[in-house]
Amino acid sequence: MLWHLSTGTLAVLLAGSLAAGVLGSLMGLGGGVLIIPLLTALHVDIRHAIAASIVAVIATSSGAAASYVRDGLANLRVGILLSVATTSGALLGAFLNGVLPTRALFLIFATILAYSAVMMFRKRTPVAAMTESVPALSPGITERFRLGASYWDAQTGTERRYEPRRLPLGFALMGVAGAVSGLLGIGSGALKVPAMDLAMELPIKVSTATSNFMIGITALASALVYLMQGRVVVALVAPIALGVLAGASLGTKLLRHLPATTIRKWFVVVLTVIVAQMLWKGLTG
Amino acid sequence: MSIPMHVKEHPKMTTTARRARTRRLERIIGLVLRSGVLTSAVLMAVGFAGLLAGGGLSRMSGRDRSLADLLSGLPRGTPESIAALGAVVLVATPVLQLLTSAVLFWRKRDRLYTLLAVIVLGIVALGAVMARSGAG
Repeated sequence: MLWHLSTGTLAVLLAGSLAAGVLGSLMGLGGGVLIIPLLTALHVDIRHAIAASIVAVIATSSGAAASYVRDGLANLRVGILLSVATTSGALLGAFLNGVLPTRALFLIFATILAYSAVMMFRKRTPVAAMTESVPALSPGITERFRLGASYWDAQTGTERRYEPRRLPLGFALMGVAGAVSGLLGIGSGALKVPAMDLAMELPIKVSTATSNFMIGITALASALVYLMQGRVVVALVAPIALGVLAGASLGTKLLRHLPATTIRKWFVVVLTVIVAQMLWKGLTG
Repeated sequence: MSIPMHVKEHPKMTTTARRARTRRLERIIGLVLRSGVLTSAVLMAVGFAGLLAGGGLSRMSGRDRSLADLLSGLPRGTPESIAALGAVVLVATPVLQLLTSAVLFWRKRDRLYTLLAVIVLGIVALGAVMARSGAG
C-alpha cells in the first residue's frame, strides 16, 4: 500500500508521539497503547504499525531509563533480575501463541488489570510510617538478592530508603506480564508497574522508572525480528521516535517533581483506559 | 567515589562507599543509554530532514523493505539509509545496556548479577532466533 505523509499527518504523528513519550516515561508503560491506535487511524498497515510501535517503545524506555538510571531512580538489580522473568515469559507467550484463545486472554488480562487498578487506587494515600523506617527483616530469599536501595526524591527533598518485599510473587507476576505481552502484543508495562508497586512494595517512582529500564529489554527480541523482516518503515519510524524521545525527556523531568500520589492517580486512569480497550477486544474479537 | 571498581565489595564497607560505587555503575549505564539514544536521534533527524527536503516521502511506499536493502544506500549517504541506521542504533541500545550491565557487575565481582545479565541476553537472542525461524 502507498501512503503520503502530508504536513497534517506529520503534525498529528509528532503530537501523538510526544504524548506517548510523556505518558510512557512517566508511567513506565512504553506507550504502544497510544501509538498503535494512532497509526491504524492514519491507515497505516497494522504490521507496520506494530513494528513502528515497538521501535517507539524502545525509544521511550531507553530515553527515560538514561535519566532514571543516572539519577538512581531505576533499581538496576531489580531491573536485571525481573528481566529474567519478563523475557522468559515473553518466550513462553510466543510458544503458546495460537494455542490459547486470544479473546479469552484479553478478558482474563482485563480482569487482572482492573483488580490492579482498584488496589492501586486504594493505596493512593501514602503510609507515612512505611517510608520512614524499614523494619529489620530476617534474611529470606528476597533479602539474599541485595535489592534494597535509596533514591533522592526531588519533590519532597528527602532521601528515601526502601527494601523490596515478596520477590517470588513479583517474579511470578513479571513472568505473567512477559507471557501476556508475548501473546497479545500489548500491555507489557501495564502489569510491570502494579507487580512492583503492589507485590514488592517498591515506591511508585522507583516502580515506573525501573519498568522503563526493563521495557526496552522486553521489546528487544521482537524489535530485532521486525527489523530483519523489513517491517520497519523508516519514514514512519523516524518522526515517531523523535517525537517520543522529546516526550520522554519531558516525562522524566515531570516524574522528578510530581508528588507520588499524583503519579499513582494518573496511572490508575491510564490502567482503566487499557482495561476498557482490552474488554472491547475481548468482547468484539 | 575513588574506590576502584574491581575491588570486591566487602561486608564491612560503609554504606556510603557502597552507594558511591553503585552510583558510579548507574552513571556509566545511564551514559551508554544516553549515547545510544542521542546518536540514533541525530541520525534519524538528519535522514528524515533529507527525505523531507528531497521530496522522497511522497515516493515512499509502505512495502516491507529488507534491512540490507534499507542500508544499501549508506555508502552514498542516502537520507533513507541514514534514518534506517538510526533505527538500527536505537534497537541496539538495549543490547548495549545489557552488555554494559554484565561487564560492570563483573568488574564489581558481583557474580550473581553478571550471570543474570548474561541469562537475559541469552533469552533475548533465543527469542529473536525462534521468532525469525518461526516467521520463515
